[in-house]
Amino acid sequence: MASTSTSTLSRKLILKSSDGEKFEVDENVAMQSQTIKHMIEDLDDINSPIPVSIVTGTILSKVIEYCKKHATEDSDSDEQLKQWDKEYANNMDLNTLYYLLLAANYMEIKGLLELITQCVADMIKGKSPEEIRAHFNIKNDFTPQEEANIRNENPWAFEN
Amino acid sequence: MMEEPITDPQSEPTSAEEVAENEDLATEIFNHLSATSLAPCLRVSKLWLSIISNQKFISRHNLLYPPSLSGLYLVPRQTAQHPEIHFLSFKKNTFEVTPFVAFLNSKGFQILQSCNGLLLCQFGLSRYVCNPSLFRLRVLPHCPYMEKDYTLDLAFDPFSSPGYKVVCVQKLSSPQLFHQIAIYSSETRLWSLFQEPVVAPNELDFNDGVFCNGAIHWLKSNSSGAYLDLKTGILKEMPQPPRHEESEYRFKYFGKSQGCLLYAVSRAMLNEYEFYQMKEDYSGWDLKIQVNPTVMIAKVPAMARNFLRHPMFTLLECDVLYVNLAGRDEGVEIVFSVPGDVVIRNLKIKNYLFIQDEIFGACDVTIWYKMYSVYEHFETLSVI
Repeated sequence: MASTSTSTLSRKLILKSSDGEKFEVDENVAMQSQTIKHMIEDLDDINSPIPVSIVTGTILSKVIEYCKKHATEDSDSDEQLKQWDKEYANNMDLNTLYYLLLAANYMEIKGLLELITQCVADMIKGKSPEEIRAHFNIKNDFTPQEEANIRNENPWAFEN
Repeated sequence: MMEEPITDPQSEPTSAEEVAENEDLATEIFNHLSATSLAPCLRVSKLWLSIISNQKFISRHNLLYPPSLSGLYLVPRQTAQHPEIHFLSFKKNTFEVTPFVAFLNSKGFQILQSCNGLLLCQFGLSRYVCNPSLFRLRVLPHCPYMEKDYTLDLAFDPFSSPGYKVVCVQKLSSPQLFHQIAIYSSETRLWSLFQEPVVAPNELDFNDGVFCNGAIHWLKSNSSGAYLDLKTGILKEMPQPPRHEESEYRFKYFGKSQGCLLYAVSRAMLNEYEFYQMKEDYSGWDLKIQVNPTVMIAKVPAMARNFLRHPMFTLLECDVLYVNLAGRDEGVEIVFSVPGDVVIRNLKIKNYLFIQDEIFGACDVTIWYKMYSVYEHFETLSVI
C-alpha cells in the first residue's frame, strides 16, 4: 500500500483489541480516531499497547483498513475514494457492519460513522415499521391500541 | 450486502439491536433520512418515536432538509359533493396517488388550508391538523368561536418555531363587520380568545388567508386586504392591490412563496398576466413578472376563445394555480390551469411543461370550468 512510502516520519502505535489481538499502525492512521487521539495525549509511554476495549480484533482490523485508506494522501480522487468506501461497506455482512458502526462510534471516527449510517439509512428507506423491526431485531413496545392503528395503516389520530 | 434479519438464538443483544437502541447512533442514521422516509421509523418503537419527536432533533433536521415544495394538492371546485383530492408531484411532474391522499379520499376528508407542510382538514364536525409527510393527524380542539360563520387559518413556519398556530375568525351577526378572533397554539394546546371584537377593514370576509412572515393575510379581489400579526395580535390594513379599480383587469392569484406575498391580475384581450410582490415594509406592491401565455394555444387550442370570430380578440381560458419563486434551476415557476391540462411555466429555463390532466382529461374541454382549489405540499418533519 502507498501508505508505507509516505509514513517514514510517522510514529508507530500499537492498538490492542478486546480479545487481545495487537495491531501496529502508523500514528496518522490511528489519529483519525478522536478517542485514540485523546488517549495518546494522556499517555506517558507511547510504546505500550493502547487498549480499544470494546472492539474485537476482527472488527478492529476492518477499522484500520478504513483508516489506512483515508490517512494516505495519495493520488486517489474523491470519486475513487467514494467508490472504495462503497465497495468496503458493500462487502460486509450486516452483523459486521453494525459492529463496525458501534466501533466507529466508540472510537469517534467521523468519516466511518458517516459512511455506515448512510448505508444503514439507505437500507431503512422504503421499509415498513415491521420490516425495520425485523431488520434490527427490536421489539414492538407500543400498546395494543397504538399497534391496532399501525396494523390498519391508519394515521395516528390523537384525541386531546 | 446481505439483507437477512439478524437473529441471535441467544438472548444477547445483536449488533443491530445495540445500534438501534443507541440514541446517538439512531440519531446519526435518522439524519440521513428525509421526513417522508422517517415516517415509518416513528412507528418502530417508543425510543425511536421519542428521538424523532424531540424538538432539538426536529430543528436540526429542518436545517439539514429545508422544507421544500414537492407538490400541490388540487381539489376540483365544481364536481360532486365530495371532490377527490389529487396530488400533483413536482418531483415526477405527474399526478400521483400518495398513501396520505388515498387515506383522505377514502374517508372523505376535505382540505381547508395548507401551510408549509401542514394541512388543516375537515371530517364531519371535526377539524384536524395533519402532517402528510409523516402520515399523522391530530384533532383540533373546539373553540367557542367555531360556530356559524367562521374561518380557520393555519400558521406554521418550521424555521421560526416548531409549533403551529390556528387562527379562528368568527363573524358576528351584529354589529355588522365585527369579528371575534381566537388563536390556538400547539405548544399550550389551548385557544386564547381576543378580549375585544375587531372591525373588518374593507368589508373583508377573512376567507383564504395566506400565512407569510408571521402574519395571516387576507385579500379580496376588489379591495385592499388586511393582515393579522400573530406576535402582536394587531390587525392592520394592507396597501391597495394594483389594478383593482380597472375593469379590464381580473384578479387571478393571491399567495406566497419564499416569504414573499404575491398577487396576480390578467388583462382581458391582451392576455397579459401581471404578477406583483408586496414590498418588505408593506408600503405597496411592485410589479415583478409579466407573462403572456398565448403561446400555449398551439398546444392547447381549447384555451383560446375567439371573440367576435376575430383572431385579434382572443380570450384565454387560463388560471394561475400557483407561483413558486424557487422552482427548478432557481427559476420562477408559474403553474397554470388550462382546459384539460396543467402547465408549469419556468421563466428561467423558458419552457412549458404540460402535465396531462387525468382528472378532467376525459371531459369535454370545450366546456369551461373553474379549476381547482390549490394546497401546497412541503415535506417537513413536524410531529404535530
